[in-house]
Amino acid sequence: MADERELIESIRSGEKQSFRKLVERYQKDVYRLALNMTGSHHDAEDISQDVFIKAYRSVHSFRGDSKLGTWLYRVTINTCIDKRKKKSVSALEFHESECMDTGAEFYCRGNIPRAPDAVYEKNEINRHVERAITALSPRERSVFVLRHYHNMQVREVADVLVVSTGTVKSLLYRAVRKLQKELAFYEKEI
Amino acid sequence: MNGCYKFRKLFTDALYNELDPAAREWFEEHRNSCSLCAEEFKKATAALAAMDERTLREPDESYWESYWDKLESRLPEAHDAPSIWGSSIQRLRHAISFNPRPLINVAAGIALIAVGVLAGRISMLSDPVLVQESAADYFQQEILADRIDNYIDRTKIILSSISNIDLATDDLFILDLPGQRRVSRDLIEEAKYIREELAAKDKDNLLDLVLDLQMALLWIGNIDQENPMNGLLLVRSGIEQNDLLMKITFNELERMSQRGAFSINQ
Repeated sequence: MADERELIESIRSGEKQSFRKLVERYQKDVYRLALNMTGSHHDAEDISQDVFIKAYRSVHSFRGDSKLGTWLYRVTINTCIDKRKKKSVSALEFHESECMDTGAEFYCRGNIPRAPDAVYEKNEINRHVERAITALSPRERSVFVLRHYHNMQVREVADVLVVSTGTVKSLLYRAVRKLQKELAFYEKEI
Repeated sequence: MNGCYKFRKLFTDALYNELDPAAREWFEEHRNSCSLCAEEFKKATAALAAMDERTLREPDESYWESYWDKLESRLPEAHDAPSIWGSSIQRLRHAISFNPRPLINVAAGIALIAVGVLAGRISMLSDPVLVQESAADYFQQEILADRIDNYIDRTKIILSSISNIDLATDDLFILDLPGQRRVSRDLIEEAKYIREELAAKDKDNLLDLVLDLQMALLWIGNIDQENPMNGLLLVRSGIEQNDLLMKITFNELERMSQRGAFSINQ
């Protein structure tokens, strides 16, 4: 915490190298969160850079009540939600127009992948999972991604989203219920 | 009911193995004794297993090596980065750079209404008891809705099978009457609970449907196993005269529309 405070003070005084340190410390976490929220490398790249620019501009307003990481996660979630609102196309169309990760290689829409069956199957599951995630509301998605993919405790998720733990549990429950409806076909394979 | 409610409250913690030993013991005990809750938990576990299959490729190290350079070119110069006072002055300048009077009048009106609404909501939400109650209420409604859906869906299967069988030519053995009677009795018990809950919530239409179906289930439960034909004819005419299958279809459509299945956006 003391280390964080020094870093913040240094950035406030205009030390760009200190800001670089902050970026290097959190760049992967911020990117990964944006990637899990959007499912798109290109969006995650844009969002993570936007997050750091916002952080740079508003570092003076960081009061230190929460951890730096928590604050950056909050900014990331908000930026993801803002970006989603601004997008005029639906999330699903958006995913299908993107390059897709088959697990073995990237390929883009229009290219017919010569993938072996196992890769094709994995890609199919991935598509179902992505579709299921798009069925979640932004708040449900935020809670689910933080809890499930970032292994955050309910208390930590509540801190990031500035809500009560009860709200987090309620949103998580709703998210799981929606996902289980979307992925009902998968149950039979387990 | 209380057990199911408690089960749902512990549901997400259990999914992520975060229950303390005592809660875990209770949870497992209830899971073994309640098939509805056990099924729900099984489905949720399967869904999370599917979500674990999600693979999103992250960039390799070369991407991160150039990350700062890309970012730095987009960063505002240090002297451009707005300070607290700087940003306030800029905002003020912007605000007075055009004639704000008409906008201010409209905004003031909207703000006044918004403040009133917000104050009301904040005063409610800041009360921990109310927040807790609203969360509890939410879970309770979810459980009730699930139980009603389950009741109607299972009853529909029984009624459909009786409606669709050809009593003149089909072997009645395929109906599995003992099984149907057993399930009907279980559903009648379930209907009693649902009716009590619905009566307290003033949901008359749904209450009527639950009651109509309960009546049909009673007929089925009372079919004479030795001589089932008369009972089956009675049930069939009851289903037709009361349009039970059509009422169930309307209820399904209503449920779908409530869940947004007919939304234009989708």
